[in-house]
Amino acid sequence: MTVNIERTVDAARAAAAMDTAAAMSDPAGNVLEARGLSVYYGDFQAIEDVSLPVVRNRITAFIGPSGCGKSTMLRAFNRMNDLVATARTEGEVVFGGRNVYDRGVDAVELRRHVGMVFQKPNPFPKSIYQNVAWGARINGFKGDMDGLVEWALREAALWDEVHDKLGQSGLSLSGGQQQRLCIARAIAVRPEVILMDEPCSALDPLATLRIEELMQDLKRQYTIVIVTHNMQQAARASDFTAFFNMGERRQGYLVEYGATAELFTNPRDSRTEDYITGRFG
Amino acid sequence: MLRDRYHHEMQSLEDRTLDLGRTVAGAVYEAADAFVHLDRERAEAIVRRDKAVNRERLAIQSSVLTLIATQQPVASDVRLLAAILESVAEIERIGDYAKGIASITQKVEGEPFPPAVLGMLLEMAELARSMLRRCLDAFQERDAATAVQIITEDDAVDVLFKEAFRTVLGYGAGDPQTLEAANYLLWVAHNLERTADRVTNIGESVLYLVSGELVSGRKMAVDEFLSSLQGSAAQEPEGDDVAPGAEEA
Repeated sequence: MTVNIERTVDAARAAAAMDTAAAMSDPAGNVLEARGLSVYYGDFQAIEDVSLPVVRNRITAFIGPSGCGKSTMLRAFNRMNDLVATARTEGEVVFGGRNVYDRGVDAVELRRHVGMVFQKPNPFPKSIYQNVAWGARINGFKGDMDGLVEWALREAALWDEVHDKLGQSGLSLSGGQQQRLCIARAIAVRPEVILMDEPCSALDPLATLRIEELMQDLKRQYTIVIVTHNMQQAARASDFTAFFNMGERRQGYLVEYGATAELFTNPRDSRTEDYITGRFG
Repeated sequence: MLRDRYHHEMQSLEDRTLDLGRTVAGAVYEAADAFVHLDRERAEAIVRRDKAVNRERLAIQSSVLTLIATQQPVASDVRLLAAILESVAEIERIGDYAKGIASITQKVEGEPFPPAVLGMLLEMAELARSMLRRCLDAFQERDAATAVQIITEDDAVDVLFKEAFRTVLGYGAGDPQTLEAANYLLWVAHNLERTADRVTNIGESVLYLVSGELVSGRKMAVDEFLSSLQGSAAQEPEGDDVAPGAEEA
């Protein structure tokens, strides 16, 4: 009696798993990599011993309950935590073959390569044009500024809506437009990575979907890391997901990292399962 | 838990699916038993009850689709809903096989059936019922090992089917008067064999539910057997009908 249980693992999931495997095994595929990273604020340990890759030209989402350190983790990638006086970092963040916390690494230069978009749209109280031109100007850009502004606004899918009012204040735009303006501002300095810290939490569902579509376009040129409280956003918009949880000392730690399709259908860790299905707490 | 109502509704849909499956498991055996004993009243009751099975299947599937659309299930939740959606369709189809056997019983006019074949049919029905019941238990217990075991048991039903088929062929070929009776026997055997196949599909859903892997354990044994009989005068019922001249449920 022969029984042939033929495995026909769904092709997409297999491909996703291969993506994960490739990312894990091929450092060249990673634009950033955290190695044994811990961040402290004074005596408080915000994240503990996190190691994870950020795969080039892919969207990586960080999910987890409030206070689990996912924003701290995001900010560790471009040393935004340096701006907090009590912050201290252990471990490494490797970018371009170098630990960004090494002495001699210029944090301002790093942030030009690893840009950031924040939770609340925060355009400067200046014109739409100036908002986009600002970053390029302080970085010494001497080329065709009009061309650069148009290119960045087109990249951020905002040009068609603002091309006839570039002199108006950035604050005159809707919330969703302001966030895309901030994305255009981040793009204008041609970063490799864009870090997004809950970029849609202040936006309505349509503006949110528009940003998610934009992220899919942007990932051809850039690598995106997004912190989101919206698990469905992580499921819809990301290629890889990292689930963070909080330990007994309220320190954040990484529970599971993997291809999003895999993590949301068949998580390996029961804590991930409990969190994403709402059986948490 | 945070999503009590949602999880309660999923549990309720699972319970209803398993209940429907257990009802249908009983109907398959009862239909075969009624055929063997030419009990037209029981056959009629089985045909009547199939409408309720069809309604319940649609109600369950509709609720599953609503949950998918409104609750964005993930992880084991989405696997459970997918397994329910798949299994409840198989269960409903098994109900059609029971109804098909019952419809044949209603057509029978006292044709002489060889007792050996009737014994094989009852044995097939018992095996199919047992496979389905244990498969539903495996679903409930998230027991992948039992699901795999049940998938292997389909072979035993196939062996009986082939044996019944050969016996009926010899029987029908010997006397043109018995062709109608042979036809009925083959349809009943076909429905029982297909029932066991459908159970293996439910077993595959259990494997997906537990492991997250889509597998296919369907075997071609019966198809190969039938193609080896090419040129034979008798034809095994083709397609997925459940009885001669049967309307689709």
